[in-house]
Amino acid sequence: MMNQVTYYALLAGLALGQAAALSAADPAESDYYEINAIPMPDGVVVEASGIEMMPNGKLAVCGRRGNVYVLSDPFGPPDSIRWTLYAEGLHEPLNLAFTDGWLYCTQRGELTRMKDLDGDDRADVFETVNDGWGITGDYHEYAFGTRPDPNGDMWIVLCLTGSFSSQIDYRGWCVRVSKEGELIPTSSGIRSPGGIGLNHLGEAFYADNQGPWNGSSSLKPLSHGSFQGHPGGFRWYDTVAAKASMGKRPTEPKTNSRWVAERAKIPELVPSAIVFPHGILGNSTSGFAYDSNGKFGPFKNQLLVCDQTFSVVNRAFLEKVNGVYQGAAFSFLKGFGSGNISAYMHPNGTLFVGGTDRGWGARGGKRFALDRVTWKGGVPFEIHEMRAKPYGFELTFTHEVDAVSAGNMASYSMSAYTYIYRADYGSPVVDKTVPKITGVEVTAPKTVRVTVDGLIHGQVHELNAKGVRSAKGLPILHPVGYYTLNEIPPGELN
Amino acid sequence: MASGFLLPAPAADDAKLIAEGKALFQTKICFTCHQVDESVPAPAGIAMKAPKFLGGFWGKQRAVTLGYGGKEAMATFDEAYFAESIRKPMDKVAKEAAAPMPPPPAVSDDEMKALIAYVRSLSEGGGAEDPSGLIAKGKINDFTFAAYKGNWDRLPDFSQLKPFKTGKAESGTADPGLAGVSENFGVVFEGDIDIARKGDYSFNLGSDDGSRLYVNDKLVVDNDGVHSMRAKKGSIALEPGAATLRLEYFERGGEERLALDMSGPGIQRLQLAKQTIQPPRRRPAFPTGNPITVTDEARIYRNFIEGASPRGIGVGYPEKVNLCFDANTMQIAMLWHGAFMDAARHWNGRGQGFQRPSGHYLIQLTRDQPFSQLDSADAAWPRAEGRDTRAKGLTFRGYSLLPEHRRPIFDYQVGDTLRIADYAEPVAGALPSITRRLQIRGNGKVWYLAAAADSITEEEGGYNIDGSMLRVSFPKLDVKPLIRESGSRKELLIKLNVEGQATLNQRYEWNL
Repeated sequence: MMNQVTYYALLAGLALGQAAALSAADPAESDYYEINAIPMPDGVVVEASGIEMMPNGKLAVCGRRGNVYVLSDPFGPPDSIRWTLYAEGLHEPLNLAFTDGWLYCTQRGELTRMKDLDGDDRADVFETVNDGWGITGDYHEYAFGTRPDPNGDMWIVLCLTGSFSSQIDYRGWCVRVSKEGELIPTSSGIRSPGGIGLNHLGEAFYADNQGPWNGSSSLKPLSHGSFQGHPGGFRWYDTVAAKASMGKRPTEPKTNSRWVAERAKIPELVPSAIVFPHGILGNSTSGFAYDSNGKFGPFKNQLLVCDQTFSVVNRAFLEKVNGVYQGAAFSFLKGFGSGNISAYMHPNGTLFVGGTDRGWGARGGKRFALDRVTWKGGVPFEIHEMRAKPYGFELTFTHEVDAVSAGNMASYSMSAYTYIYRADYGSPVVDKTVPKITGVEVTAPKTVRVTVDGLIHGQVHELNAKGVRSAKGLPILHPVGYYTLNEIPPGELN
Repeated sequence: MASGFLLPAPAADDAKLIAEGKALFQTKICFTCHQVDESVPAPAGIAMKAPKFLGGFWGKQRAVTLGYGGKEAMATFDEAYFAESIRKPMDKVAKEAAAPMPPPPAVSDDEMKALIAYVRSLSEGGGAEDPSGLIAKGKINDFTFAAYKGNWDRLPDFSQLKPFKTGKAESGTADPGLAGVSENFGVVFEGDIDIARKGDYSFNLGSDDGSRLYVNDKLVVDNDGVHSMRAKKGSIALEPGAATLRLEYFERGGEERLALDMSGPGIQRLQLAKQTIQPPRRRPAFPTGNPITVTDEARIYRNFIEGASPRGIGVGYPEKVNLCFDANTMQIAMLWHGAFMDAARHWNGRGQGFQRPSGHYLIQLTRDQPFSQLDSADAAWPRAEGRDTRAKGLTFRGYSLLPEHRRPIFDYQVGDTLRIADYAEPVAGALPSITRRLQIRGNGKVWYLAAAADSITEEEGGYNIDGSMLRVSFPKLDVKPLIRESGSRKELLIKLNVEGQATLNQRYEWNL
């Protein structure tokens, strides 16, 4: 015979079951963003590694096979887009940038600029702007480049030889090539980049993949003189150019340590601004883009960061605390055709994403792809910003929140962890703790203050806000934020 | 003693010869052009339309031209024709071939015999079915079998069982099909084999399900148990004369397969059972499948090209001649005819390694930088010692494509004073060639390295690069090139005094 408690529990279960059934109608990514594959003509293979708009309204796309195509009417119906071969025979180019009348591209061995002189949509001249770094013939010696920064410099990150060591000039470094074509050694410590780009302020960030001295794939800020973590390329501090631009080589990091501990000893060491927890948000962080004017939705100036393995685009909110970049990563969009490595955002709010799964594999399933993403106009209910505060975190949502669920501590949970900083490949998750959420307060219609006891310097703080509802009752589309807490903001005076 | 066993001794020697020939087919680089396996293309031979050694060709008539591009005639593909084709490739050229065969490395008379034996064996009816695996079918003498019914996990003691079927098999081939059933049965095969020479013999026994082989009543291979096709090996020392053979086999369910072959002195993989153990699939010598085909315009392939530095720039011309410009040294590193490049190595997987040029008549040139401002006439030429060595004092500036045919003009700098436009112009013909047109702007003295080799011989207004197919000459040059000794090599140098502008033309021809 059933007792009262069981009876009510069953009723509650029925109610929950109903709620679960209703959740089928919960908002989905596709309610807000539409992903369209742009089909390639028969026989055309573009393992899309770089995307750029040409001044004539055509979209240039380069691929790992060394080809560059221009696409007419790139915003029109995908099936009617025409592909014209602009250039071929380049050495695995991994970016495109149009400036000063030239289409620039970073090949394995050089920065090149090309131009169509006679208007037939085929490049006729290929100038070597700079080839001052070395290649040995190792397939891992990739080179990724940016558009020009406000100073006119292009930032280029050079993968290590075999992704482990530096066998020839500047492998494992970031170099800049100035407008005049001069090479400036800029940062050391790079391992295996998956992409590089500039943010809305013109500052360079690059993605470095999980491996030695990098426990999980991450997005890292670059600055002149910085050391990004992998000491494999330190020998190039001895070159004339590096001596002039970089000064003395930094202290070598100690293996099996933590970033916080090594940063205390090595002033040049720059921590990852965003760690993308391995196996959770992705396995291979790569290229990124951002929306500069809000035409792609509510995430103006946030970085939309590709992951090759997961065939997704994640979203990164960045802020500077104590002069150090850090911030939160969130899931954003899935459903891309291949392994995303390149992204380009047109000012009209159209995002192009290029992919290839060659050599590493990707969930998307296609060998190569070019996808186009457009915003449908509705604003998803998301954590718009997650800011570190002396007391914990301040969350700003894209919609007004439901004061009851957002003000309820039970709507939130948190864990914190980090990765070993070591010479061995990757790292397990270590030092895991559960910081205590001691209070939540809705401080403005869209803002919640989350007070946390036990913030840990240097750790990823994973906040799950899945109980929060919008004022209109919507759940959060992606309720988990992964905040890399390099710095805890200084406390306010009592 | 049982006579007439499996293979007469001379045939066994043939098998050895065929195996030698097969190895020579690789070392004498025949394989790069002549396809011998339906599934493995010989890329260099595709554009060259080299004859394939597939199907029935031995003893057949074929159309040839007497001399390249000469009068048409018919020839019989026999030993004499084969030997002549190797020794004098220009005499009778297969009519369908796009170019005559380049002379292969020297082939001795013994090697010729082996090559003939191998190529002949590739022809249908001329030899074995599978050149990589079994090369002859053998026969077991006084061959009997006894079939049993039963449902076993392992081979039973057949001596305790009564066969449901016994018989002799004239085929001399161990065949589970002789039992006439497909499941839950076993077969014991018995007979003997003649051993011509004393020595160690190995037996390769494959079965689905279990099997066991006894030779002279000794267990040599135990492959018992229920399993899918699985091969095991064993060996035994045998004396000349008859050796008894007992093969036990059982099949429970599913596929039934039995394979046995033997090897030993004078015998290579002689097949004794119905089926064969498939040898591991051979991988092609280099990846193929993404040929960069050249039709009406020049094509460029920048990548890791074998024979050049990591900054190789391949150029394929419609005239069926190709080059690789090395942007580490600014030198033409290689020239070749026919097919241009195959990108399969770089367009599959992670794209690891250096890919060899596809075509034929490959000439490897010195990769040493072409220009240097030597301090004196006997100063050492800067050498490209390692693959990654970069030219001293030279800076690569890229290339532009000519509107017509999109041929590249390479652009580089010598010091701060001279700028070079380096333009290779293909010259069409039965044996196409290249004229390298160098236009030098600026002011100053500079040396040009036209060739470097162990030996360079001046002949009829040109220079033969001894030990290679290369001959170079300098149309309209008004200074005399200099051959100088430098260490163990000869260098062909031209000294230029540039005042505003100078031109220099170098012709690269194949001297076959």
